[in-house]
Amino acid sequence: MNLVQTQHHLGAHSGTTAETSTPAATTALGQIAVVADHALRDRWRSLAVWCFGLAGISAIELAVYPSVAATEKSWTAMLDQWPEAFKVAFRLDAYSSGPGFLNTELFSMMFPLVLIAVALGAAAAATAGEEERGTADLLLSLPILRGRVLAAKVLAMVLGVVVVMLAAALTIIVGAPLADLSVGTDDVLAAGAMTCLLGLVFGCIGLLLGALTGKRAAALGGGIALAIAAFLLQILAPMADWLEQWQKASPFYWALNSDPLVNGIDWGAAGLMVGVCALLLAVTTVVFHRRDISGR
Amino acid sequence: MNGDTALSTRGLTKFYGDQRGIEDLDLDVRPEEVFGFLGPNGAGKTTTIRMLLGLIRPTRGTATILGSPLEYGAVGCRAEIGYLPGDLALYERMTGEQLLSYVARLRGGVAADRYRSLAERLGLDLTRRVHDLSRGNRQKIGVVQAFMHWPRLLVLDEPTSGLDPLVQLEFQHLVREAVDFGATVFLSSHVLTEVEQLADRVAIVDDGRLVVVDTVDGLREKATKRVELDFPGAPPGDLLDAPGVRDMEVRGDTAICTVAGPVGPLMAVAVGHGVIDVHTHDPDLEDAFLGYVTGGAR
Repeated sequence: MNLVQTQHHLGAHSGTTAETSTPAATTALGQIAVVADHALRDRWRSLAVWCFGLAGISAIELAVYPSVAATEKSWTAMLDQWPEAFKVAFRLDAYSSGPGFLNTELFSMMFPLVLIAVALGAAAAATAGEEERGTADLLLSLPILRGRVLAAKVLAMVLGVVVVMLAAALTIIVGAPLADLSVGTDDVLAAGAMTCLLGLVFGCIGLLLGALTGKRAAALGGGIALAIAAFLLQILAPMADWLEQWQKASPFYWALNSDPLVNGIDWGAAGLMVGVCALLLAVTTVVFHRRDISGR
Repeated sequence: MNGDTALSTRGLTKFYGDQRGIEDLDLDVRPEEVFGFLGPNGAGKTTTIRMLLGLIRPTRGTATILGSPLEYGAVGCRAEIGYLPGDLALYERMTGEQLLSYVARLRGGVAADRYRSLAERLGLDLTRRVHDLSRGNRQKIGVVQAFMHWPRLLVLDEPTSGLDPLVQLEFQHLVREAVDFGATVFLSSHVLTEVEQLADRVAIVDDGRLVVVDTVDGLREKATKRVELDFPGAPPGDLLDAPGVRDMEVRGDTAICTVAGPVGPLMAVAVGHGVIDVHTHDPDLEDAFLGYVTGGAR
């Protein structure tokens, strides 16, 4: 049996010499697509849970809206009692308006934190995950540049974040007319895009921490700690004068304070977030290229 | 092939902080040879291999692989290398088929038939997920992915760990076939028998330093052998004075001598004392290996 198969191999190979049989490496885009596809498949369960979760929460919020709108006056009276800073932070000033309601319930906290979690999950799994599991030895010994591996992981992270956000945004766009909630489709997409960028800023921080340390916990923990700090800065800054000047350092401020659900995309803020991501990715690429991959 | 070496290193060194991984390694591996890279665990074998694959950056020194200088961060000639990592980790959720297809697509130009037939030869079920596979079956996936693209250089780190004896035999066939097709094999191991059976030449490393490079036969010649001599009464003590005798152990009427080089002088002394019977054991590479490797940890 083995002999027969051996001869089969001899036969299969006899037409070429060892030199000419060297397989051609696939193209850069081909390799990136293969690695990104694998990264997404590896995380599809968690992405599916996030998609259904956010879509479900959005649907529930929409179902509640008609009764909020119907009792507008009592809401306004109640919310007037809240501290000014909370009103600003959670957009309580326009709670019973469509965009105001969505801002308060979903876009000022829920969506940003979930998208940051999705991005950080992908970032931690990216290079640090491969290193910690020991699969980096196999992957990086293949004829693929580390930059391509990183590009593929970034692509998978971006797609994951966008898909989860789209699941929620589409639920809102489809459900808003049914709930008699008036909000512009383009504004929902604009706010979704800004929230995606916010998630990706922290995702890129996670990628950098992962490339620096090779540890998933560092990527995830460091990213979460920074996200919490930035979130607290965003909501507490309006309450304390000494903090207020720092609020503009928070990515939450960049993403949310232009009120994209009413005003559409603030291209300056969007550009800032894209620029920060690009800078973080450039540093990550250099760090990852120079890194000694840890063995198991 | 490229010049007269498939793989050469000059002063290749890796330190982890103050700790020596490998220091000043000079090796020349000839095309189409099986080169054994031998040493106890922690000697620096895996460190060396991971530098050659571009996974870790040399502290200093150079390497030339298949004619190209090793350049950190570049793909170099990795397309032409088949690598079996020492502590193989695979994607747990993938089936064998998915994993090999993944590697094949990243390499490009490897037909599914090729890895499927290799898997069949090793008795590997490709439909099962990695996390359901035994250590031996995971290792088979590692072997298949290393061989499947007809690499010109095979770098195999402890390749038969976990493989049962029959599969080890098939593995040896694979190595010999690859060499027949013009491949060079760099085979790292702490198990002497697998190197002994396959390698033309052997380098022995210990504690981060190259100890010796020699042919397997050369090592065997220099190996000490054990000679058991039965006497009518208590063995004479002057056996120890015979040239070449390293030490002697007495068990009843039998003397067990460790001899380096020819046994003639010992036999001359033994005959004078009326030796009744003689048993010798083939020199074992293990003895040669242990003779070169310092330290009492074994």
